[in-house]
Amino acid sequence: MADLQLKKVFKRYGKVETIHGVDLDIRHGEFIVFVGPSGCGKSTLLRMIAGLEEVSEGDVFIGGKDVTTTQPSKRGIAMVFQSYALYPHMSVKENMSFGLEVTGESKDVIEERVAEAARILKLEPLLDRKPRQLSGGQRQRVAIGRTIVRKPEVFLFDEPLSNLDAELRVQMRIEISRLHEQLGNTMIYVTHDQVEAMTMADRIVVLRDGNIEQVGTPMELYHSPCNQFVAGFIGSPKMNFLPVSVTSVVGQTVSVRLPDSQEITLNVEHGELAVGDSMTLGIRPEHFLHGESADITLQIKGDVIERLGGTTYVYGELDGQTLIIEADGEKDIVRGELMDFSFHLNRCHLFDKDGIACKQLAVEAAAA
Amino acid sequence: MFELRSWQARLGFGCLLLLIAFFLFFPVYWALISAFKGNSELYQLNPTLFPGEIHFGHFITALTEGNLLLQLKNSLLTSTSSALLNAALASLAGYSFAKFEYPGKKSLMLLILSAQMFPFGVLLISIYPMLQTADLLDTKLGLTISYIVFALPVSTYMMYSYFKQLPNELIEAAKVDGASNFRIFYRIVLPISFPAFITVTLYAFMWSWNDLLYSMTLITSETNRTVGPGLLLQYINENNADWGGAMAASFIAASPVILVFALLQKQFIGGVTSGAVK
Ligand SMILES: Nc1ncnc2c1ncn2[C@@H]1O[C@H](COP(=O)(O)OP(=O)(O)OP(=O)(O)O)[C@@H](O)[C@H]1O
Ligand SMILES: [Mg+2]
Repeated sequence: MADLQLKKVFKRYGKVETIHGVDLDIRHGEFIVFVGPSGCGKSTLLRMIAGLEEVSEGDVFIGGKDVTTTQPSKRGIAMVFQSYALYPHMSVKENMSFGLEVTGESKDVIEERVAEAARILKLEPLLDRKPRQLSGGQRQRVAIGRTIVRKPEVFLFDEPLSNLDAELRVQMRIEISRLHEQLGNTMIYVTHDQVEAMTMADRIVVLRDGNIEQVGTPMELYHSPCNQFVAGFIGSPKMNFLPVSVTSVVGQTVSVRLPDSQEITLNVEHGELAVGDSMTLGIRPEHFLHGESADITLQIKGDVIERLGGTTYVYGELDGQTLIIEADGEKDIVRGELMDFSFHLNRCHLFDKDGIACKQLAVEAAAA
Repeated sequence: MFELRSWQARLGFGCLLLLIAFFLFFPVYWALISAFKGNSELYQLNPTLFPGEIHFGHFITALTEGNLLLQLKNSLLTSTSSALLNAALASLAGYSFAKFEYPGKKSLMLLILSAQMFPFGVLLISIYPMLQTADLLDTKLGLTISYIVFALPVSTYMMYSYFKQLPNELIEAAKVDGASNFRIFYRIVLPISFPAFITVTLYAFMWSWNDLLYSMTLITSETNRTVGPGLLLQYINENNADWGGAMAASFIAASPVILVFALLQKQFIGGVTSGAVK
């Protein structure tokens, strides 16, 4: 069983601290995605799990064993690098068998495992080629093949698809998900692409500046982000944020005024809150409805209309605040015209001035 | 590369290249025809640009009189072994500098490079007594070692620069695969760096093959003499200067070098790393 724990893990380069005490519990067989903006420490964290980067403080456990100071090859991990890192002077077959040769596997075992990996990844016709004779997608598959043959407990991927074009990326994404299904191993996958995170992960770990912001299933993060950063990071297009100010606080019932002077009342968990405080209201573009059908209606003039066919994106303004609205592609939307878009109160997210989410309580109680 | 737009510029550039080529190759040409001229034609007052008749006499004397073949063997032995040993040491040192972190690395590198600041004649002053103490004067081993002393700093730096630009991920991948540092070095790093290895080998080989000063000073016996001093002592000395013989022997002496270059030239061209990353 290859569950994996990080316990208060720090990384420091001299005086500079880049990972600030990360705790994480990963269960056997989970597909975990580390996601976050560039420089947030995803690669560092992954490399510490791999043993390629020294852990400054804290412990790493794999399968219940403390591996904090164990050699990478003895941790039961295998890693796919962003640049593939194939051995250029070796054929595809040699690339895949190198690790097994090193650990002294017999010729038969090597043959069998390489053949199996080649079959799974459809590399059979390419076994005698050199990496430079392969396309990007094929190289990527060889890099994955090199990890499969070693039968590791945990697979580590560092942005493996970022060198591929969009179409291939989607294809490989599906292949990796399928591979996970097939092998059932624990996989940790680093990306800064939130679509990859949403589509592949059992659980997503959102990182920012060397801290974990939130851990949860894709839908948990989508529906109840714990703060404004996660709310903005997960979902595409980005969640809309409107500045609002508190007009009344009675227990857990909070009323806020929107930029267009409308007032809404929500039943939320919150910390210290006073009348006049500024807060942020978040609504996802896809949660707007055309017309006045929902709880709150905003009048928005569309400056830019992007038609994708099935959906149409409306970039509009509400008292100086830019909003993105995802509308049905069949609806008649005219640029420059004032239109009604509405949303349900239970679809809103309220964030206090520090960006912390104020969780909505009961939907029924929220009606004003 | 820059581009030459007009035909005038291209013509001018071509002429310049021809001129340089002329200065480079005319002496070679002159040596070649001198080797094939008979002595009467060689020493006549108005030199001829083409030998009047082809004359192989100088080649025959070069091969039969004197010790040219023994000297060639000695040269080949010292040059090849110093070149290979030098390349092996330079790769190991360069790899350590390029891909490992340890205290004192910078100063150590500086120290090694600063050895290059001394003219090689000056180095000889300290090499001589050391070889004397080790009882290696007038031995091929002593000569080989002193060649390595001279070639190693630049070779180390050349290997270092090459290794430096090898992607770390390649080494890390091998590490995750379970390979030891030494296995990574000889199974992954060295094969990829073959062009650099060859370049360094040729550099050391050329330098020892063409050396005169070290071999003149460190070798005193006829049996250990290498080809450079051998030619000089036999053909151009206080008593006479046999130009024709010197030229013919020189061509025989140069042929192994030309052969080695012809064989390894293709390896100079890099591109072996393509396909490793991205
Ligand atoms: N050797 C180093 N010395 C000092 N700081 C470093 C070093 N390596 C990385 N860092 C810093 O650590 C932080 C995290 O880097 P890391 O490579 O983990 O980011 P990342 O999340 O993988 O980003 P990206 O998406 O761009 O790959 C960055 O701020 C980086 O500048
Ligand atoms: Mg990274």
